[in-house]
Amino acid sequence: MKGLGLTGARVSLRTLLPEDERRLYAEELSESLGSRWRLGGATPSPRQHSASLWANVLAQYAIVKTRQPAEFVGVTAAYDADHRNGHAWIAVAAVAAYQGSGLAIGGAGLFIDYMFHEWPFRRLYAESMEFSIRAFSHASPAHLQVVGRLKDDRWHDGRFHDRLILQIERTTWEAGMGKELADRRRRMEERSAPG
Amino acid sequence: MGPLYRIASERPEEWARVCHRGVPSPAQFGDRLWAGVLAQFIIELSDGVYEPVGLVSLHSADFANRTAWLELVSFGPGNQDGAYASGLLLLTRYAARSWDFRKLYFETLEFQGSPLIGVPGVEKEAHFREFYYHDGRYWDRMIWAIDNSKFEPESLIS
Repeated sequence: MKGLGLTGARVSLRTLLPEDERRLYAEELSESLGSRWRLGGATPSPRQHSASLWANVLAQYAIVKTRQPAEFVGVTAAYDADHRNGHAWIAVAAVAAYQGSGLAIGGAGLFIDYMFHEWPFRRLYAESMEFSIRAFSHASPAHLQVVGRLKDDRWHDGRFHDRLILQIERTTWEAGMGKELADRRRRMEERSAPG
Repeated sequence: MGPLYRIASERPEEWARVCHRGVPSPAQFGDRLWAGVLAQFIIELSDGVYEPVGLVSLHSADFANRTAWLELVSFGPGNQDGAYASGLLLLTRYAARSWDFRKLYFETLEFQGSPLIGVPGVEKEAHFREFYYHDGRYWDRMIWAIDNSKFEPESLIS
């Protein structure tokens, strides 16, 4: 039996708590992130925000630093799961203090491994606006394939921007970056094995 | 709703928006058929009999970014490509006269095609390999965009 592998060297995944939702609400409505994230400048009520945070979600975790005091880095989620056709969509977001640090992408890596471990998805998809794609520079291009570019799809900061659709294949993931995570998981199993 | 439900249950692969994950219950079908819909019309043949051959919908409108999605559902296995093309063009003209959308998106599965593919102003913007399981294998899904600044439905409607 493999462990869930939610703990990494730099970041870990833990259950999303009500205080995290309040933090995300403040972040999403902040001047620095408000128009960049999914709300696009809108300010829903806290209740509407919470409902939208959990709409069609299959799994969702807070990304925190592994080292204590386990500071909150961001959130990652899987939604719109299509078990019939073997795919789901994932999302990741970092709070302002950790934008560009690569820590949220590290958390997303743990989460992708968890998704492929827990469900037989063939692939995962993600969306990113072109102005946010730099955040993925910490991810290996081999694992992340652009399968769509919806040109001038969304307004932000005075002009329309492209919306990118990204794909992560199970086979590619498991053959590459997944191996590193599999090795870490095996070490965890060995540590937790009785006797 | 009864006849539409019967048609959808026989050919769910045609009803991507409503039956993407299988045929819903009759009650769910009604809800999903109208969920997020801005305008929706039956395509009838103008032959005096007015036989319904398909359904066109304008849905998931994003007024802030001035985009929306089109959907065409064909009712039968018979070849009504001319009627489907006319239905879609009439809906795009209706949309252009009613709202100021910049772009209209629509999706197709590999085995379906669309009468709008190849029309000036229509471009493929996303291609999902082996996305949808049907008839024993996975098929690709494509997202197409109609750029309303380059698309002229008036000149195409016969």
